[in-house]
Amino acid sequence: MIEPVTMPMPAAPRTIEEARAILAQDHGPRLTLMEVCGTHTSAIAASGLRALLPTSVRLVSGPGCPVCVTPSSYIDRLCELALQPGHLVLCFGDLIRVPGHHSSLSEAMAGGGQVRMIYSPLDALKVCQDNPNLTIVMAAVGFETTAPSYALLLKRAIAGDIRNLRLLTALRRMPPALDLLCAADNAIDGFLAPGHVSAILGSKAYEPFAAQYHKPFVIAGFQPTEVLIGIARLVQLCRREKERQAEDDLADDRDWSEIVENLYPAIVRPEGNPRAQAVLAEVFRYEPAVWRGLGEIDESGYRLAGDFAAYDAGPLEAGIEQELPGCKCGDMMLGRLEPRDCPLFGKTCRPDHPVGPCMVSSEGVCGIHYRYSEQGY
Amino acid sequence: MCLAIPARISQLLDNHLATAEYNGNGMTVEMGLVEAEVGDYVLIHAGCAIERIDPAMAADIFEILKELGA
Repeated sequence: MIEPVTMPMPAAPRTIEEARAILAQDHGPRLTLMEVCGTHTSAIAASGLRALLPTSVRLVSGPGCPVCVTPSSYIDRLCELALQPGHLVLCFGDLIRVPGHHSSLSEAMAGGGQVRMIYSPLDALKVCQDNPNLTIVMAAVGFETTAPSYALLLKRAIAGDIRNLRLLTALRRMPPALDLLCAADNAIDGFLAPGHVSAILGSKAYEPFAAQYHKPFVIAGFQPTEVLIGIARLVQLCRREKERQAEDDLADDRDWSEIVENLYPAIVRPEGNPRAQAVLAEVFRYEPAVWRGLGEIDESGYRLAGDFAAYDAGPLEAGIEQELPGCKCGDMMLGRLEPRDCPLFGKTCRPDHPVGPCMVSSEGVCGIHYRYSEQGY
Repeated sequence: MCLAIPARISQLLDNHLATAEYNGNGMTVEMGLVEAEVGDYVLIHAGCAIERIDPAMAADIFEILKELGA
């Protein structure tokens, strides 16, 4: 009997020329790769590197824009609070124009709502001290990268005996969403993992998914060269993995960490940032949370725990997220549709008049496609 | 999704805070997640230093942010 010969693990590309050669030579059944992070989506569009991909590689954007996965009901609740006497809502600028079912925060402001943009959660402490008679509601949106900032803010609030601060949280955990993407939709062959979420979680966080679903993960930086090298490496790993699977080489004792590759080691350590992980564990617990486009995902939301729960602005109504009429942002987030497939794109939905969050946010796939469309993207 | 900017620590303040400079602007940043000294570069996201980086990396990221118009 002839033993199957497994292709040895090819060396990772180190230069843009090597990456381009790998991509140029690629052939076979089409691979679908997902860049999870909105900043990667932006870098890919800005650099025009999609033009370097062969027809055998399809790149889709994932749910890596925090504003885009935030349910419209969250915006609705923020608007309600902004219009409630005695309340002031604080948020980052990316949230202010996102439409809810009834209005955006900027429209709520026009209607007399109290909303203020800040640049850092630290600014919230001073606002609280300067306005002791107001309840200050901080809109907390983001993933693992952002959640520690809010956790540290609350620790400072407790230490400073600041009691008029509340967090309305829509903070989300990326691993449960990745698990859903791996499990529910077998159409994605490999993932370009989010760079700065990985800085917190560590590259090892992807190994369980690689082991369970046999899908490669590559962590890459944000320079066009780094992104292209990351994609080329992902293509290499996916092709080799498919070959191994065709040989039925799915032995339980395989080292699945070999299909998780960290090409951003200057920022991402295998174990991540332990201080960030510790403060997240101290301040939050996990709860089921609704993601726009993905629905409710178990343990994917951060909720304030223990003594920190006193700072909670309250839960949102659970339930099915109602899409805004005609809006396809949910399908965008799953990589099922591309912006040009949406009948609203560039017509009734534009950056100056966004219908859905993917057009509003600087990291939303539709806004990115719109901005770069004049460059032939 | 989680854009982060490189900044140079110009002064360490009490209580795990620091002043950091980005593009000529000073800002107060949360230093609860990283160890850094004056002169070090850190990656800042949402007002919080999330990782220490070397100066070359900081220059690279600065270039990327310029390209992305951030």
